[in-house]
Parts: sequence; structure tokens; C-alpha cells
Amino acid sequence: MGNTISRRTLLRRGAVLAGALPFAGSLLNPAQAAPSVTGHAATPFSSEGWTEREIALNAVEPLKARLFANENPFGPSDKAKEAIMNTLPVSYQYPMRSMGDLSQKIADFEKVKQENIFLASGSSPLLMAAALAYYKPGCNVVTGDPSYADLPSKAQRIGAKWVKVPLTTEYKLDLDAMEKAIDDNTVLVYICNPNNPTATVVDNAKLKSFCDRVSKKVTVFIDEAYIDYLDDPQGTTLIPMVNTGSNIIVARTFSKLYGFAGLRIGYVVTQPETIKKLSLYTEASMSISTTTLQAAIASYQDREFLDGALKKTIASKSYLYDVLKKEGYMYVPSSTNFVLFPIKMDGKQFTDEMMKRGVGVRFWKFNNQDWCRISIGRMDEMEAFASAFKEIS
Amino acid sequence: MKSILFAGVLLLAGLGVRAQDSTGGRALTMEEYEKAKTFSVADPDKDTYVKFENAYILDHNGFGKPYFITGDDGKKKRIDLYKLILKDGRVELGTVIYYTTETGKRYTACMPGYKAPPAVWRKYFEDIHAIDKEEQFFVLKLSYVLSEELGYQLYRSGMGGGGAVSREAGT
Repeated sequence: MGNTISRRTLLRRGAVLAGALPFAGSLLNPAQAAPSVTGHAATPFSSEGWTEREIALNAVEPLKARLFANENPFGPSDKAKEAIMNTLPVSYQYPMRSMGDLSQKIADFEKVKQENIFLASGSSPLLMAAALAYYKPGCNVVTGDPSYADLPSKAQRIGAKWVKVPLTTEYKLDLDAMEKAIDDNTVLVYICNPNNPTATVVDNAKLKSFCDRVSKKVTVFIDEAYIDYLDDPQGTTLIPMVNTGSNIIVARTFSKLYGFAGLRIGYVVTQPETIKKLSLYTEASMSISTTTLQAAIASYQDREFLDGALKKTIASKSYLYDVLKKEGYMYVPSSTNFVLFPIKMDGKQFTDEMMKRGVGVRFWKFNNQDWCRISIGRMDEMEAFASAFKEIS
Repeated sequence: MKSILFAGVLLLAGLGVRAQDSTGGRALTMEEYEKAKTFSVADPDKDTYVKFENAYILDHNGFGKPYFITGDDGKKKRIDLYKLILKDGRVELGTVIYYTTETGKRYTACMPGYKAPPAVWRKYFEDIHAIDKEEQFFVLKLSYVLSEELGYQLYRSGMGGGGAVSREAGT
């Protein structure tokens, strides 16, 4: 339905001035054509814009390119799919034994003890458990801003203060400023490395040194969801620090490079006492299906699959960079399977227009700028993005 | 009708001084004015953001739903508004108006932005006057719509602007 105007109603309102509008439009809505000076505080959206869930529920069908949730469209691996099929006949059984099989496999690879590993249906239940387990009245959680909001938003929901520390000018976590932000009420410091949504990585030595100092005062939660996209995950991970008794929680997920986002499995590596603490607040292991567990066992460290997915991700990302450059856009160099770039219009309008063209992406607002975060998809999805983007760039 | 329109321009000149602040000093040229009238949006119900020549954008966002006006003669007209934006620098140059009659015939007008030269403004008034001769009450109905838009924009301004001020709240 449109606006229906009754002639009499309008005449009663008086003015009949066909030349009047241009004198009002720009004054009253400067953001429409000049997003860089938008009054972001007045928008109804958080700095994260719409979440993946909201985008998925409002997505057009069929979607040409699903690029809003940082999934890996090249997964899961053939070995994982085969394991799922083979496990179906025995899926009436509780997966007690296979939980141990997987955690042992991970422990062997990461050179930690099995008792240091706590599995769950994705890292989400573990983020929630940490928010609950560490909460106390008047507490706060320190994070970068913007960063992955799952844990701190949950902590905030139950009453904790969320202390947001702006990123550096290179869009990396500002570890120095984060350390300064810690006070007596800080119960958790949340580090997402590589960071989401900026896809940046902090200097490894600096992070280790940060964790060394800070973990003596407060628990550091390091979310390594995207670490598998780095050139040297083993050289970057902080899991070895668990062996030296550090008060850290390192979270990993199969949802990204392994392509298990819909299968749901993740884990943390931490001290056994911390696992005891977390386990009070989540069903964790018993929430994992037997099919998913077997798929994870079958595909864990399957280098052939992982390297292949990485290669395809890099090719799609390179294509995206070319598209953005050609259209005159900048981007934050990405170490992951998503890219953040500043856009030249309102973020909500941008994602709406992209969605109308069958392409789902997310927007952010920070530093007085609207941003698009695009996940790296298959090449056909990136081409669909390019086609839609050219229409509105 | 022409004199009424010009009177409106003068009455609102003060407001206009502030309105052009976001246009970065760039104004609609006569050539662009003529070109904008040729820009066609295939389906206003779907096409809310359309680029032309990779240099201009017609953006319906912010204008809400289309206007439907049924006169005493029972004829239903539809009016769609689009901001005319220069892609380079995102400069608002004016407003493109699609006026669709009950038979589906579409008339296109381009209302210049405030800083457009007098010659462009004169041409706009002449053009809508010419359409009015062909399409009875075109200018009158256009003025209803633009009045409503002005009212909404003033309301938004009074409320401090921003995207949270709904059109419905202002009516």
C-alpha cells in the first residue's frame, strides 16, 4: 500500500508549493547522501547492525550468495560426510566413547592433556558458560571494539558491565589500552584473534606477553575461531600456554574452516579447574550429536581438505579485493574468511539493497563510518556479490 | 500556477540556505537536469536504488511508500520520488518525480536542488507547467505530495532527524 492522499485533507493542511521540497530534504536527512557524517548514535541499530540470525530470517529466497555468517561453503569434507552416513545406523546410541576419542585426538595434536579439553556443540555454549561462570555483582568484561560480541553481550545481559576498548588505527585489538582498562572488577578479558569483524591479527609475541601478565590478575578468554585461516596456526595459538598453567581459556570451533557451522562442535583448551567451573553452566559435551562427533573425528586435521578449502577461500578473496579496488573502495586486509570494508551509504540501506539482489552481507557502524562485512564464499557467490555491488557502489 | 510556485520558493528560501549544506557546493547543471528526465526506473515497487551511467543514482530510500491520489474525477494517480545523487561525492542534486496516470502513462520531472542555477529552476517550472497542460491537475497533485513531504521533513528536523522518526509518527 502506498500513501493515499485525500485532496480535501491536503487542502486543509494549507501549503501547495511544488517547489518547496528541495529546501528541506538535505537539511533534514544529511545521512542519505553523505554517510560519513551520519549521526550514528540516533540509529536503532547497534554497532553490529543486524545479526546473522536476523539476516537469515529476513533473507530473500533463493539467496544467490550467503555471505553474512562467515561460514565455509567448501565444507564439510567428504570424510566428514561419509562419517555422518556411516554413523546414522548407530545414532540411537549416546556418544560417550566418541567424545573421548575426539578430545584425545585434539590433545595429541595440540600436545596438551585430554583433561584440558572441554567439548561442546560449537563454541557458543562455552562462551555463554564463561559469561555465567565468571559473573559476580559489579563485575566487568573487557573487550576490543568492535569485536565478536557473543560473550560480552551475554555477560552484559546478566548484569556485567561491558568495557569496550577501541581498536588501533590499523583496526587491530589495542592490547595496551585493554590492559589499562582492566580494574579490580574485571572478571574476564575477551580476545578474539583473528578479530571479528576486522579480520586482523595482533602481534603474536605481544599477545603472549599480554596474556602472561594479565592472566595473573584475571582470566583471559582467547577466541581462536578463525585461526585455521592463518599461515601458521600452530605458531600463533596460545594453547601451549595452558601447559604452563596460565589462567587462560582458548576457544576453538569446527564452524569455520572445517565447515561445521550447522553440525555444531567446538571446544576450549584450559585448566581442568576452569573446565569444572564452566561445566556447571553448560551441558556441553552431551549436547553434541554422535554424527557430528564422528564427522569431527574423521576430518580433524585433514590437511588435504583444509588446504583445498583455504586455497579456494584465498582465490575468492583475491577476486573480492579486485572488485573492491575496481569500484574505488578500500578494505581492511583480511587474515580470515571475511573482509571488512567501508561503504559510502547507510549500512542498513546497503545491506537491504544487496539483499534485494539476492546477496546477504552484514553491516557495522563504528568510527563514524558504515562498514560492510562480507564473508568469503564460492566463486559464483563472489560473482553474484560483484554484480549486485556494481549496481549500488 | 507559476506565480504560486515562485512564491513558495521565496517563502522557503531561508530554510533552503541550511538545506544545501550537505551538497558540498555542487549544483545540478542544465545538462544534468535534461539528462535526469531521461532516467527511467523500471519498477518503482522494486527498484529503490538505481545507477545511471555509473555516475548518477536514483535513490528512493527515505521517501517511504508511493503516493496515490484519487481526484474528484475518480482517476487514480501514482507519484514516486527519488533523490538524484551524483555518485562521485554522494552529492544530492535534486529529486526525480515519476507521475503515473490511471492509464499507466508516466510523466517524469526533475526538481532541482536548492543551489541549482535560476535557469534550471525556470526550466523545471516551465516543464511541470507544460505537463500540467497535457495532464490536468498535474501540478496541483504534485504540490500535494511535495507539501506532505515538506511537512514530514520539517517534522523530522524538529525531532532532531535520524532514521528513527517514522513517517507514520508525523501524520
